[in-house]
Amino acid sequence: MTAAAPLKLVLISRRYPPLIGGAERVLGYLAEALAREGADVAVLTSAVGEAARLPAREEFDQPRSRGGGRLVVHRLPTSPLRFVGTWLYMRNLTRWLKANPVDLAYVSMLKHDAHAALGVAARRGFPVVLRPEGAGDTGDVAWQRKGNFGARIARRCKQADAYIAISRPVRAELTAAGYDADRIHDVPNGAPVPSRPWQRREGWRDAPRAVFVGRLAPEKNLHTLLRAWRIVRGTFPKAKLVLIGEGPERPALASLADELSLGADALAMPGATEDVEAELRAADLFVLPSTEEGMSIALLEAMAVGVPVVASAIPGNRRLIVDFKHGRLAPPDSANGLAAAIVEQWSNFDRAFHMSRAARGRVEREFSIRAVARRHLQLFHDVIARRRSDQGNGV
Amino acid sequence: MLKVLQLIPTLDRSGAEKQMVTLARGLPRDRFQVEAATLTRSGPLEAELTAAGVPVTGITKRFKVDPSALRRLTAFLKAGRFDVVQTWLFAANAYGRIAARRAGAPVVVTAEMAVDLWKGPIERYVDRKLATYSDKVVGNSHAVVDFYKRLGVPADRLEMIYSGIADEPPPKVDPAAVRAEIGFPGDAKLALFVGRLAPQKRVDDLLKVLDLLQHVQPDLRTAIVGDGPSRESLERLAVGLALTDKVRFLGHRDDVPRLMAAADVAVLPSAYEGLPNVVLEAMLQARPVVATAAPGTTEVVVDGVTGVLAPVGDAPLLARALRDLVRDPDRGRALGEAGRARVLAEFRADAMVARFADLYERLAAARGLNATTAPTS
Repeated sequence: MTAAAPLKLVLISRRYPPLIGGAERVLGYLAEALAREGADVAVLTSAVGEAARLPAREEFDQPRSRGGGRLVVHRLPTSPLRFVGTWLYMRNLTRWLKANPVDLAYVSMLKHDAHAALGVAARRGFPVVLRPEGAGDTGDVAWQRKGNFGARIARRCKQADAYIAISRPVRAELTAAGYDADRIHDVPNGAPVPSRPWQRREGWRDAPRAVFVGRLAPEKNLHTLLRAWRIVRGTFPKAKLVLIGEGPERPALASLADELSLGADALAMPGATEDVEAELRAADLFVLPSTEEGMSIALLEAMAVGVPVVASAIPGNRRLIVDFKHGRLAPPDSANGLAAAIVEQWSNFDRAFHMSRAARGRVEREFSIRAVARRHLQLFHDVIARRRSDQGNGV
Repeated sequence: MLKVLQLIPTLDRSGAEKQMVTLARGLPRDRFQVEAATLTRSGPLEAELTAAGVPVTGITKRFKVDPSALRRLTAFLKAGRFDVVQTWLFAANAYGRIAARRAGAPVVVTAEMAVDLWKGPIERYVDRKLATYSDKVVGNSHAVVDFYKRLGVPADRLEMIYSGIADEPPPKVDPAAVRAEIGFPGDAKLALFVGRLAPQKRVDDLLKVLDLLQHVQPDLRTAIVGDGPSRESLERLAVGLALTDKVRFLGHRDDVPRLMAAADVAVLPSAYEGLPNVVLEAMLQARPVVATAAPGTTEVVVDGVTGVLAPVGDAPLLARALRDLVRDPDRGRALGEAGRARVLAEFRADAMVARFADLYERLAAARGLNATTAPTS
């Protein structure tokens, strides 16, 4: 390969946009940004759910790409049946990797995809970089402990060339589970920064609107948010909360809303959206009350757009938000505390605006998807170079 | 009588050009016979020179490297038999010094007007090399002199003469009418930026400041006077930040003193300066100045006395300084008066002219030229 030839990269993730979710969005942004930086990116994903109706091979234009970068998404056939689906996906993944030479494989989640990729890599000799998407009870290491074939998959995952840790807990869990600490690299998540920042809505105070974006899942702590909302309505009687997303908690949240008598004017759960930015622009506040976050892409996006923020004071959020500097932090376990922070942001909206602009500046400097893609490419080149020199030395 | 030539690339309405015109007009006619030449093209300031009886010759250089322009310039210098050739700005400094040496001009003075951080290795090499052709390299502030000392110009060839500004009576204006004419409400607070729209001036930082202040100081309006390569991207940024009501790009204006008289505060967010003329103009008109602590600017603006300084690139601090000043007109007036007093004491045009006149005569005497007798030819 000459220096001018683009890096042939395969990015493997069972779920990928347009499927909805934080991890999916992160990978979508990253794949685009890697292609824009000049890599030849093939995304391997499963034709699962609504993706089954999409073309099996889709090439995306990268008009602003430098030097030969491109992005092709391959949706591999699978089955909606649980075990059969996984088996089919892994088989098709293995076939694709055997048929298409690549310089490096980058795999989301330390699960079946990683097992399959490492299996082909051992024979074909390309390096593999793995990426856990979370920590805690819903994280990759916990899954390996509990899931089918988890232990076997974990053993093989330890052979990967490098790991990307998006947060400190992810790094700590990998190290504790026996992964080689020297091969773990800290690279944060990144978000695109839209050129036009969020602006205050005319007449926002008459009916202020807060938005949450994410899965309706227990760790998002939305019960506390609904309880807080009743308190917020004491100060802002027309305040409306919009929960953007889908998930298992929907029925429980709906019945809690009834119990708290939060009607349609107080709470909306319109489901998931493909245009998160538009929802953020239409809001006067972004709220993230989670008890657990690795590095929330929804929070990063809200900061990048520049909408005022209230987030729970948990390590993952503290990494992005310094209280009173980029937004407000609230205790995750207290409806009163959360409500107080929301009311305070709206009562002192000039200050909230100032903080939101500081948050946007921080994302521009530290967490732009472009900078994150470049750090990935640097790491990929290092890993490939190390492989070559090892092979050259007969290791 | 010494025969003096001022050589400059253009006669546009910019800082160095204005200083040159002030000097050419001010040099006492009983001791100096003054001419001017433009290396590239003329400009709006030519009228002021002609009115003062200073003949202007055009050399019309066409390319970055233009040997035939150098030949024309050399021939012009030979024919003119100038005792003193003073060059201004990089292109004229380069061509002027080479031509002056070839033509055998006895005294060569070079004016440097900015801490030119844009200069790359080639420009720096040219400056270092050609410094040996100058009798003196004159910087218009300590920051500029230090910059050229670090660049390798020998200390004994360097001299500092502050830019000067003539004390003219401030124009009588109706502030509300000026605001209305720009398209702003008559009772708006008005901040004024004047300068070339180039990256050096960091006007994008100023737009970020105005974005931050749009709600806490909703009555603040900003006029941006000047043109340049960044204008288009800055106008786009202003649209992106939804500041179109609050900011007007006025382009080049011939009535800056009038706009300054109507403004509440002058703003200069630059990364570097030599000795910013616009700040001198603001202070002369007793306007407070909010600026970055850029090299050059710090020699004019005394933080907390004649204005407020913030670190270069720190939009939140610059925003706070601007907000505090427009909210406290009494303090603004006090800073403005202190500024005027400082300009009249330190940056007078007649003092600048006198120091150049003295410098020319000293250097001419060192070359054995008799300064006081009129030329025989």
